[in-house]
Amino acid sequence: MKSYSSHNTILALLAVLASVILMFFSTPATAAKSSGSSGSISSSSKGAGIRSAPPRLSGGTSSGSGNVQYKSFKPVSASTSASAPLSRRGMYQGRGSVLDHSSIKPSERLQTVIREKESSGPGWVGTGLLIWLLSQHDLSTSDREWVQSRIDEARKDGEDIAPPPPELSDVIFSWVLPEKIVPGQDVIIKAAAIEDKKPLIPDCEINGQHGHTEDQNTVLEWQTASAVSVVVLCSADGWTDMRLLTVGD
Amino acid sequence: MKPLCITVLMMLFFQMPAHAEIMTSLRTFNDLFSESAETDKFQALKQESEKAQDAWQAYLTVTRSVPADINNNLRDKYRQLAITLALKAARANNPDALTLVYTRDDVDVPEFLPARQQMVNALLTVAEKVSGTAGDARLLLAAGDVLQNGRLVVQNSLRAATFYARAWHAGSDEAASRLSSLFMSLKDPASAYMWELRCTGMCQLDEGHKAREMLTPRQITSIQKQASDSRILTINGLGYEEAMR
Repeated sequence: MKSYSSHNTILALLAVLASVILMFFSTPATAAKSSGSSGSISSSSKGAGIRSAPPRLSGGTSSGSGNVQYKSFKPVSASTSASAPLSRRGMYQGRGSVLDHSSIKPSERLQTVIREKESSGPGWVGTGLLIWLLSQHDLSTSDREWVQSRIDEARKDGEDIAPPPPELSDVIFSWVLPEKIVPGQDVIIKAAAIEDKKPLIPDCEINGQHGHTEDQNTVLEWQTASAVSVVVLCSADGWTDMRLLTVGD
Repeated sequence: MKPLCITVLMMLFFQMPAHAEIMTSLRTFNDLFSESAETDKFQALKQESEKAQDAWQAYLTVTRSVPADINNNLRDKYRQLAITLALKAARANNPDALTLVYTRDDVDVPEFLPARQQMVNALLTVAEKVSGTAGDARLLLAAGDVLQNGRLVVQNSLRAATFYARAWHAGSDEAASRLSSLFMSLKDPASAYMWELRCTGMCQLDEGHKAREMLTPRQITSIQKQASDSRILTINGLGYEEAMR
């Protein structure tokens, strides 16, 4: 009996020792993982087309209702979220709001924008959000400096900085084109452009010839001769739109 | 009788090497005669083609006239003559010759490489002026490549896009893929995605095309609608539409 009880004691001690070892090496609880939002985000965006000039960031004027306009953005992949200690993964990698990492806060307006964006989906975190904010047109100077400071901190922390997403064009071009073109026909083309509800007069070109302005339109003429196809280009505010004209289709 | 048979057999036996030598000599003489004939034929063709008014037609004649069974030395002469005629035609702004000079593999015809730099403006001018029929597709594509690659001239992606678009209309299988890559290089995922949609049939997209991933569901749907209109070459205004929402 005595040997049996000592045997049990040893087994019990071994069980306790194993439990302690397991507890010691188990990973700490992590924050909720992003649910892998690798798809596109349904946010409003401003922006990209073909630029005929270097990218412009208009200062100070907000579009639409005055709120920051969000661009399409590919969120941070869930696989990079922090399961490793903070110092190795970077301070902005999936660890709470970007607002929490600095005692200095941006304007109330930007704080609202950040909170809304962070709560809108699992991928709006970290430096990706910061880079996206930096690409907005209507940040105040102090807000822009705040965002840049956070990005600089992340860089110092060794974090990979995601590139900003491309802008989509916000200029709407409208065209008046003939439905059908027959060989030898002289063709009149009209083009107009609007940005932010304001009309722009586009600069248009066909076969090296520029159009002329009539009211708010640019008008071009094309003499088909033996051509079967031609491309018309119109540019306004740094964006370029193109149309293909074909004979006989 | 027996000695006679042996004698005859011995005579035949000792004649065989001589017979073989005669036959070998006869064969060599025949080859020399043929080679000489082929060389004469080549020389006549060369003289005729160098006098020809239309260097491109002369080039076609030469390439069709190369005999199958000639030695490497003569084959190389045909090759050099063909290259000379092609370059002559290209310098005369023949569209087919220009297409040949700018599309042949560098490894196949290294002689075309220095000519490409010299004739690049001619290529672009001729490509601007061609009517855009099916026969012009490869020339238009080559012009687009020159402008987009930016090695022979300063890169001009917009102008390259106009050539690619015309090549697409002329029936080029590769033009839509080129346009998709071009617009991605311009950071215009909306237009790039439209050209991805148009890359159908024999067209193959370059690897890594991720335009769609940069767009919202509404933008994707809008672009899909616009892609069916072949007159539309670029997508603009999506940013404004999203802002208004």
